[in-house]
Amino acid sequence: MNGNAIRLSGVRFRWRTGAPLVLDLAEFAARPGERLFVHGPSGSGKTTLLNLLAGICLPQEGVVEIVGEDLARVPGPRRDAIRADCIGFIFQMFNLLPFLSLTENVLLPCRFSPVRRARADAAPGGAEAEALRLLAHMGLGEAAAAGRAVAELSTGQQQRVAAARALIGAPPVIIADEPTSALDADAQAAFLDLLFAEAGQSGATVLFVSHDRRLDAGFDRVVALAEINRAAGAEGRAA
Amino acid sequence: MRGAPILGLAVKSLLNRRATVGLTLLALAVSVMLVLGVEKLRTEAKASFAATISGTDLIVGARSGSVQLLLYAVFRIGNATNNISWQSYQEIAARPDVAWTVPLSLGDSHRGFRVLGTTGDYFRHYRYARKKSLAFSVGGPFTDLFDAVLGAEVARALGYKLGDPLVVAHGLGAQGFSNHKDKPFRVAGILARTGTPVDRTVHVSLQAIEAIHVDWKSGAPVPGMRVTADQVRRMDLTPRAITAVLVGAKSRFAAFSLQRAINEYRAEPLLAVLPGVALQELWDLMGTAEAALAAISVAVVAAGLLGMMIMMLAGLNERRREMAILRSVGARPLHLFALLVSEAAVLTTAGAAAGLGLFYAALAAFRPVLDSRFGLFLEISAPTAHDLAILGAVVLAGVLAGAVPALGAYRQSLADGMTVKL
Repeated sequence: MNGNAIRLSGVRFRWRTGAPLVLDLAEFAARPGERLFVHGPSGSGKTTLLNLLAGICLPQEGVVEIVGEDLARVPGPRRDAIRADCIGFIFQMFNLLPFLSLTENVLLPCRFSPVRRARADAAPGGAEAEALRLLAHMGLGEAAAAGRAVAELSTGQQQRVAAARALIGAPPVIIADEPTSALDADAQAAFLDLLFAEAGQSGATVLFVSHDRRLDAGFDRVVALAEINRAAGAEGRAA
Repeated sequence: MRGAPILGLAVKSLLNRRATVGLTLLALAVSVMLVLGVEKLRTEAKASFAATISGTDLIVGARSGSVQLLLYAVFRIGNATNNISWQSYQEIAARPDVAWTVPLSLGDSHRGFRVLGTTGDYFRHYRYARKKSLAFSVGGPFTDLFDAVLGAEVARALGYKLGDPLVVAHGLGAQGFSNHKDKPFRVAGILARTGTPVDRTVHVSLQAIEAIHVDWKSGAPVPGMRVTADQVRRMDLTPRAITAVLVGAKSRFAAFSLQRAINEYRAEPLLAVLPGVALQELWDLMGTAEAALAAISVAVVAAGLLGMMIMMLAGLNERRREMAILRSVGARPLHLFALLVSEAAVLTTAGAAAGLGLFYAALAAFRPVLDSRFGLFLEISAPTAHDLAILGAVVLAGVLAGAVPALGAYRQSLADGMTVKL
């Protein structure tokens, strides 16, 4: 793959005209396959950065590229399609729909992204088998086979289902927002190992956002959002 | 990959909220059942109503209103304000354009059922539904002075068999304290069920009516005057007056001129009505009640749909996480709109289907009661095109009602994005 998986250039964002700048990034990029740890305390513009990458928010100035496509320059439905096709998300908690089975939860992105559906279908045994393979890799093969409900799983197990879902259909970018903050230290390390192993296999870029710097071992690069966000500094001082 | 995956999610999400969804579904089903039930009753009642009398060209009574005349002469409801003199009846019967007449004399009752004095011509000429004549299930018309012919419902309700004695009460009280027990009747025949007021009538001869009233005056027995049943047989029992007459004209056209002639009759103020016209007039009177009933059932459906809308709107806030997750896996705001509209569609379709099921269950359960108590025979038949149109309208209204919370979900997902602060 040529170029960057993610690239933000000259991005300035404020919630509405006249409001103070929330995010002001000169340059921020991640190469394909890169494992990037973005460190950011609250108020550093983390949530805004994620919303920009997801195409939920649009910057007033600058470029937000996901695999070469500028989200600010494509129509809304295309932005939704890019998010569905190219990005797997893992959030802090409550990632799963309680009324779907584990496998159905994992296959959820395939409902909205024909691209990921096609890739999952192309796996040996088809999409269902691919979901089960990912779940088994996450140590949840038995739980999935036993038809366990989401509510019966521990938080750590739920996060691993979320990881499997982010990985299904091999999206080029995995964005994880504090996925381990609800886990204990051992579970955190195990979760990261699994995530890296799977992302490494599909060649996905991992953008891991956390306020906890102790987790940065194993990443190719660590970026402090507060340092590169010229808007956050001002706000941080004010707060 | 658009419609079906959303529909699947909608069904699973609904199943996940069984308790609230179940209650909403029940409300919808009950309201649909009510609408179908009212519609069924309305059409069947109208049909059965129109079938009460046929083949009679004119109903003649003392001058009052046509609806009143129809009510007491045919439906045995209410009382005649006045009688027709035997003289006038004879003159009408003798007219050349009259084919047949059936005199009717009302005023007494037997254990809550009206007693009708008439002649054997009643069983020959009375027609109901599509020109069906009366048939005897056992026995036959009266041959003796104190013979009675019972309607099917009278015999069933009171358990009478052929040959049983019965005593007629004076007036219309259920258990008249003054009765004609000195002159008991005998059951000579029982009619087959007709689904008309005939079923609820005790028929006796005109002479019998006259006979039981020989020693009565102004509604009370004359003190000291006792005429036994045997003595009365030797008396002249020609009635002095009757209540109404059913008239068959020689032709359709003759009916109109006959009607005018009777209405302009000089010796006595009389009224002749065409049964079809009077039936329509009576039904129009009930039209307001009918429309009110239909309006109420529509309002009940609206309330059911409103309940669904409220449930969905109230659920929006607690489902923000669900919406955010769907957004993060690539759902567009339009998908979420479609999700909620699908939920409404699934819910109302299920509600309509369940309502249809409840309707048939209720129909099967209440059919015998309606038949025996009100003479209303409801047929269990496949839903009519009109019923299907009602069901379709309910589903359509449900989808439209679902668009309101769906719009809410659409807006909310635009504002929330993927991150929801709990």
